[in-house]
Amino acid sequence: MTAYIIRRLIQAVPIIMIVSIVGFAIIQATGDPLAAYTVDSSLTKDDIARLRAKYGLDQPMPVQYLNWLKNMLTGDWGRSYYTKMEVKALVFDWLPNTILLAGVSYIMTLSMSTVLGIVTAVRQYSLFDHVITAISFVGIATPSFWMGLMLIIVLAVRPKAAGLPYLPVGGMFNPRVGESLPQVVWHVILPAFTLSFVMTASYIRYIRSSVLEELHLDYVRTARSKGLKERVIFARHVLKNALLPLLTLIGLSVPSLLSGTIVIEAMFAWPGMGRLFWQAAERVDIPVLMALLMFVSVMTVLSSIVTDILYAAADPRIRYS
Amino acid sequence: MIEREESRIQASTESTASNTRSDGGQVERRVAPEVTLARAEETMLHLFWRRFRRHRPALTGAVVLLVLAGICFIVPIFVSEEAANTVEIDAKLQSPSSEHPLGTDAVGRDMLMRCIWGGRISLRIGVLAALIAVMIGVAVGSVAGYNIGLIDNILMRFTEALMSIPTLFILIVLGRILGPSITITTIIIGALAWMSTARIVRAEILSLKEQDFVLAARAMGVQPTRILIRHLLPNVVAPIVVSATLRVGQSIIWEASLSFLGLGVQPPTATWGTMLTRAQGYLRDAPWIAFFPGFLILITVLCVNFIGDGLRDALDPYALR
Repeated sequence: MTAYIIRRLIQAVPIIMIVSIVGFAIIQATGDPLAAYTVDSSLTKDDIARLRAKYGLDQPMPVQYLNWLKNMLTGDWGRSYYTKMEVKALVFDWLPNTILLAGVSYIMTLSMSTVLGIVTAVRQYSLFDHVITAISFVGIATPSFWMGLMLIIVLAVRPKAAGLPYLPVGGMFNPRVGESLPQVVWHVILPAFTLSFVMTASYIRYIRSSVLEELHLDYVRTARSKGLKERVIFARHVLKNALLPLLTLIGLSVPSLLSGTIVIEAMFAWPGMGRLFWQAAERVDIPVLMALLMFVSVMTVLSSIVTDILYAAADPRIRYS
Repeated sequence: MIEREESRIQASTESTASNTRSDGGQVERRVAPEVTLARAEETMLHLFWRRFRRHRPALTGAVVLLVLAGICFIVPIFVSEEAANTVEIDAKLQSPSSEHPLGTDAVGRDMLMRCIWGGRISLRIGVLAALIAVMIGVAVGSVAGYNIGLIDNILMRFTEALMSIPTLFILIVLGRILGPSITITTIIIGALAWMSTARIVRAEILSLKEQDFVLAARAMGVQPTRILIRHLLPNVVAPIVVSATLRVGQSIIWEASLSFLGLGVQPPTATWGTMLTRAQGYLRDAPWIAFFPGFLILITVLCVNFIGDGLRDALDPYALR
């Protein structure tokens, strides 16, 4: 097991290297960082040369890349061009909010989709199955931000106009009430549900077909023929096998979850990493952009490794070889 | 009738492949090839059409999409773009009426015209980006699958690395650095959507190239490139077509997300994404501004997904009927 984990981690190194080269190439494509100074007439050629030397820009490209990589790995992510704050502090200030949003929305996704996926599989071709299947087809084709707009209309704008209680549509808490747990919970519902909607739709499809596949296997017939109750067959045998692939899905959904947070956080003014990234993109705040790009990429690689390990640990048919 | 033809073709190819030497089979084989080949091509199309037609959702999707695309590409021939961009501040935020069937937006532009002109660009971006993605994906996937070893390793690591950067993040960074325009948006979406196609093509080629017909071709001294293009790729057409279809839907959603965030196609150019950018501010007074463009995206992607399903079924050589 340990050997397997170590090997997976080693395999991740070239991938992260390539990601970092892509990232570095993007930075290079943004042009000369001193471009603004070269047109400044108050600086002499010597000044520019000194600046270049100071920031290591006179070094050959591979050396510059290695320096940049070293800074990235040691957590020296530079300062935001815009707020002048340290990027690392910025990211870690906003990260917990994103984890909260993504976590809540993922729990929503898992709970809704397992229930609906299982029920639609068991009641295959029933009216309920048809309705849910239709909804999930629509859900897969829905852009999440449009879903958000529609949910705002239905759950906030309309009820408010009708004088009913309505869900808040921006921020993490009402500034007049102050930050408290009930406030945050109240504010997370709408963005989290929006984020989970599209994912839930595809998860339902996935779980439904996974359960159906299991239901037709020989061991189910065997279990039936030895007289086990359907409930027992289902709970003890089928579900265990059918929900195992879900583990891989969890790891694979990290990138889409992270991508999703950009749009949702921008839309619901949720102070998280996605919104930070969006703002940095609007201001072309390169250090913030690159730090976040690298950060989410490494997170994705790590999550896929964790997934594989979990899967290998959970499924006895998979050997650590 | 067609079914009988098909089974005969299958029987004859099977007997050639497995080299069974029954007397009758040999006679059949000596006369049959030219005739069956000529018919095989004709019946392939027929067969495809027959299967596709039976897939109701796919057929409906194809019809709806054709109508939608027809409107979006034919109307602009007769109506100038002015109709979509004329600001009529007196007529702002009007609800759908006979004069403006889909209402007007915040500065009094006709929503119907904007939806049509926007659809023209959204659909074009979706199709072109998917084409770019599929071309890259087929090139990378087939080279990786065919020249197993170092090249395969490098290409696949690169593919994995790109896959581990959450797409929207790198789309936003690239879009921001290269500058927003329709062309650039199309190209970067295409350049970031090819990875799954590459993996599918690679997997198919990997398994196909172990088969006897490839060995036979090699034994005859056919050049490797020719084997790849003439013998292997035609066998991968089905999954390529299916994945191309699904890429169209994905590209449309990505364009819309980028433009919604204000980082893709720029206003006043209408796309379904840019039309939604400012819609959030008018959810109370003019919900139709938010509804229609997103609804059109939903319909388009839904149709495209259904068509993809239908194609998958219709092109599956192992399907029974």
